[in-house]
Amino acid sequence: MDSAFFPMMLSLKVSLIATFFVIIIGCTCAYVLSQKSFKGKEIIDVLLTMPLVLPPTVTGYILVVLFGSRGMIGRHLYDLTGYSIMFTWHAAVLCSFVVSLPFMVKTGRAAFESVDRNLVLASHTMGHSELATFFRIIVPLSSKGILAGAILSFARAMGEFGATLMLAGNIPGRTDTMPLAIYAHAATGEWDKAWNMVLLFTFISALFIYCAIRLTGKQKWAWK
Amino acid sequence: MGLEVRIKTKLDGFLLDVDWSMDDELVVLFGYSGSGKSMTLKTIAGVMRQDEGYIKFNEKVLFDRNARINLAPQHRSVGYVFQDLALFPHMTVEQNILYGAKGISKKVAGKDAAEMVELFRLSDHEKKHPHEISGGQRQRVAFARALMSRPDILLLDEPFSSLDNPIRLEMRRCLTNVLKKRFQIPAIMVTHDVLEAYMLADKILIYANGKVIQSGLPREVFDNPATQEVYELVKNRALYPEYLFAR
Repeated sequence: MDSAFFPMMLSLKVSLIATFFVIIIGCTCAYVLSQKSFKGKEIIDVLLTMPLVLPPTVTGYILVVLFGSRGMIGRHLYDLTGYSIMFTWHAAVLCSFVVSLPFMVKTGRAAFESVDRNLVLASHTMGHSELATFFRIIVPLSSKGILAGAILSFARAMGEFGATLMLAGNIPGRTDTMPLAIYAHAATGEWDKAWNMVLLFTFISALFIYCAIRLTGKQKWAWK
Repeated sequence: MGLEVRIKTKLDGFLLDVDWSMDDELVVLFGYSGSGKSMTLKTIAGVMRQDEGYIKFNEKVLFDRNARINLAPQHRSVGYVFQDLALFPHMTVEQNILYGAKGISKKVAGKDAAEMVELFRLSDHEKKHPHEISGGQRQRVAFARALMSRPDILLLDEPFSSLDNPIRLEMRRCLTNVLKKRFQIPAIMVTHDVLEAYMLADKILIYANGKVIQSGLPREVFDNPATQEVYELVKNRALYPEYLFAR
């Protein structure tokens, strides 16, 4: 099991960091999409949903084009700082973030939209700003949805493979997250090692999905 | 002076075009569903867009199209009691009431909240959540919360529609007592209930198709309906014993 330790810890680290950013950026996007009307809203929605339907290799390819050391953004970053995200565990975080963001946006948006509009308006008429209303009314009333979205995002981040392989590579001891390590073991015929990691990974993922299902139950305070 | 309302606004093909004013009194907006009563309240509160006109309270301009003034709902100093009350389900009665105290220091807010709890007879329920109290008590919490910030105007959108009759009577008394004796502010109430309109209103505005078709003292309007439409609206009065309409 020793060979599983590093990939497991790396997967947990990558997924936790990615989920942290997913919650902040995903909730912000979900709030804007649920409460605001503006031109181009559908286009933003489509862009944020794309990683959900695109093959991970396509997402990975786009990320390489954008963030590779000669990429559209990566080039400037490299020229300015000498830093390239390619073949680092940071790349695994970026890939996990991109592919799991849609889960947070979709779940968060549905949760925010389910908050009674009159509660939001009531808060505004009582003098509370949009930000205060968000944190004191909308977030507490959609906390289950936000938590479920975060757990789904975390589970998806844990399972990220294709995009990570393209942007971070599969460097043992550096970028080999669990899915990449399983692939490497299977490719070299180390079936026992692969099997152990598959079992561990399946158990962890099932546990997170179970938590997400439990957390999306009915709120206790409904009286209508 | 008082509240001056001039609204002309179009929404999904419906035109709301009203022009009226009021002093520190209770004005009832009475009419069929979809005649623009709730839309008027929402526009005054600033939670619904207004195309043209103005809304002024004494010297304060809440909206003026020509002067390009459009105060956000947060700055209009309006107490709004929604039809479904809009109590925050995750907060206790006390927290709901305190939430209405924006811009008031904590110490004063605490004192005011205690006074409200006393005034609206909620003493044993402060730590309960809205789903743990009765409909009438929830109603009183909504009133208390709306009045916590000492608003300039109180807006009531069919506040008693979900209550049973005996509690309705009690709540009407509670509302008039609080308004006449404690807060002398203009209050605008939307209702479908002919008896409620007659009993509570200092002045009544009859709404139809986005316009005010008759206004005046309740007795004047009920005794002399200006059009067949108004007559149709107030004729249900005949269903009630006449002594109920004695004021």
